[in-house]
Amino acid sequence: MTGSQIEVRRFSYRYPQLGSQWALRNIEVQINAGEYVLLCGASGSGKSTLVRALTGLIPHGYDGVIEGSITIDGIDTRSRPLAEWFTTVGVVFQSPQWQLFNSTVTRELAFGLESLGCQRQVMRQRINAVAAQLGIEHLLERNPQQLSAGEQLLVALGTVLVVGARIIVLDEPFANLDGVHVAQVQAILRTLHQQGVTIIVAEHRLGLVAADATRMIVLHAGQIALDGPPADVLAHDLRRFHLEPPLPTQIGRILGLTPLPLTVEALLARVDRQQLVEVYQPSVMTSQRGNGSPILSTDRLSYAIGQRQLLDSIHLQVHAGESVAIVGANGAGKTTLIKHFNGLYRPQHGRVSVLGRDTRTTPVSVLARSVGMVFQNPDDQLFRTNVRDEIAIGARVMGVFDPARLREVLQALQLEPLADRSPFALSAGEKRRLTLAAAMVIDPPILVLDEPTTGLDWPARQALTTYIREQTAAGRTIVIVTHDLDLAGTVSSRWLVMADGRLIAEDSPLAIISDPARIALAKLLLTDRYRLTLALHGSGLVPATNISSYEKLYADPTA
Amino acid sequence: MPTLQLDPRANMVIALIWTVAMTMVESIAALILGLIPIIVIVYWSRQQQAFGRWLRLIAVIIAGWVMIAILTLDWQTAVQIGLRILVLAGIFFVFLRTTSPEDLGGALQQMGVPFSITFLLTASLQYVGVMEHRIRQIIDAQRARGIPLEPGWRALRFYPALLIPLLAQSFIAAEHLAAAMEARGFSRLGRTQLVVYHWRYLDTIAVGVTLLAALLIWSQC
Repeated sequence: MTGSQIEVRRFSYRYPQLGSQWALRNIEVQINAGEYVLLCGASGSGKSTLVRALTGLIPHGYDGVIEGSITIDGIDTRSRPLAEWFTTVGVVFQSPQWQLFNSTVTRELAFGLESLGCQRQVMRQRINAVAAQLGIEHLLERNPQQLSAGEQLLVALGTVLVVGARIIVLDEPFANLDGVHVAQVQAILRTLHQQGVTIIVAEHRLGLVAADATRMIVLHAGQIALDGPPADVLAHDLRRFHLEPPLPTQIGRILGLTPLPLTVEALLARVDRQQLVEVYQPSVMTSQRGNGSPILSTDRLSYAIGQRQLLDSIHLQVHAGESVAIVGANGAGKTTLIKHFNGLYRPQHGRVSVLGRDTRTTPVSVLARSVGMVFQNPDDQLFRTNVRDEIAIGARVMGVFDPARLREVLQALQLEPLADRSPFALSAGEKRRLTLAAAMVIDPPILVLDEPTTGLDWPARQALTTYIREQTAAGRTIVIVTHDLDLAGTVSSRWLVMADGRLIAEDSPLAIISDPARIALAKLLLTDRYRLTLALHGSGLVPATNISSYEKLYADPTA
Repeated sequence: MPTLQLDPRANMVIALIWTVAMTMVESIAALILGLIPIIVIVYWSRQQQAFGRWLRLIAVIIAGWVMIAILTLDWQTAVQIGLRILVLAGIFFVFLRTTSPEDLGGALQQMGVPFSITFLLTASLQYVGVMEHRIRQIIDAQRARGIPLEPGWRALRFYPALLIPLLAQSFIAAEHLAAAMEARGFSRLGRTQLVVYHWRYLDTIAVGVTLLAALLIWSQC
């Protein structure tokens, strides 16, 4: 046995359903106790497979072909059943709602302790300690399935901590979280790392983890492409692995800084702002409103379920040809609001008007011709045998199917090569494009997108951003619900900010991010680009202009 | 919601006694008597709205059976069948509202029923709510693109649009659940329980009173 806590030796794995294709190939890595590892790579790079292997789910929960070995504390993961590993290594899955199966958070936290045969008093003590550590005491008697995504992630993390796991593996933990919960989870992971817990986070949004991690492993096509301290790994051209480096690092590379800055604060501490504006041109839209007439409006719209007020007197207008982003924390009422735009929800008070039609009296099937809506989970829609049919079915049922339009949409969203494949066999990014195509095939004047970038890697996100911008330029009205403020600032000229069912602000992105009170009230988390933008605007070096192009990084040697 | 906080096993035994009694009695008066405690519990626990929704759900079944009975038998039998279904549905409603699946599973486990069996019971009931949520999401996603999944005859043709995504996600859920359970020591021996259930005098009295009432109704009506 060597000093490493985890030893992966020439490990290869092949899923039975993928034939001869290896998901992981010759992985060789040692991880020491107390390391904080960022495991990154584009979709399909093998991140989730390696997470399964490191936590014993492969081979115990998955069939397939294995070569090589993985040992934890010197013991081969194959030599003990999965149920014996959970006090050593704990896992938080990408969708925590599927790993929570008890009726209350208390019982959820107790499950692992009950498996260990703990006494009741010990269980109570540990549950209370972990709940206090994670700040979830107020959730203990709630049903886990009724919590927000952020709260579910904290509970899932609690189930791992409560049994004292010394290695914690998280698979894309930030995918569905709002800004407040992102910051909370980041802080918790930092604290755990300081306490000596080994942390392994699989994530493709590098900016969320790189500054805290002590080590970064880049996976590409099932193999380790790069491995080392984050500042060293980020010095390489990560775009060839379909990863977007954090913005401060990109700027640091252009300026030739060594070591590379991983945070905005580190960058600003080392670079003069005048020098900064020479290489970085921020783009945060400042225009407020489209010039067209109102195409979608709500008037004192209210909606409640039981005692819970989900929407409280919302008054808004969206103009023809405008791109609007609805932003706010989980549970702010964003999705409830957009479900009123096509009649899925009927106003309990007030009214909603779409192209002059009152949604209270217009059937959903009629409104669906005017409002194309793409929901967060593509799997909610898939039921046909091939991509072409899946896209066309809605238009066929509504009697507006046009083969030429189908070809146009297939081409625009690069789905032509996949047209005859099963929708179920597509990647996350491809499924997202498919559902977008299903909405676009009816050529709706208004397109509504609910969290369109969730789970997408950098190339898929870039492609989606480009498509939205093209549609806006073509005059289509776009409404986006998102936690992804970078997307919202890139494609939308006006933000509607929601908190607790109310519309608390309606302004340009620049005006919103410049107002700390509104940012705090809406529980938003400003990303690197906004913090840099504010720093540059604050210095007066960058005028507030209506910039409609991408932000620019000049002279990036890797661009 | 105010409840008597009986032991879950007492709730189960009471529900079983009342179910057996209401299955065996013949007269309409007995069935009406059997309905009264259900209505009292529903009002006392302020579950009128939920009970109303439950009744709307089973109204079609009751109406169907009543119609068949009127056409093939007589009106008295039809009323009897309708009332019997109503009472049995009421017992089921009250039992589910007063007893969480986990409490029942935990209590049975305490009685020596293997954990793998009690967990099967609790997890399957627990996932009913999850699947209800998924069904709503799928229906919304399909209706948003013009597929008519609103209640009605036309929806029947498009039921694959609901059933296939639901089935696919159920498999995914089952896979995740199995992994999550095992990753928290599901199959380890020597489990303990956080919650311990105590059979009290109140439970014995409640079961006894129910048994007496059932016998009384059965013998008199």
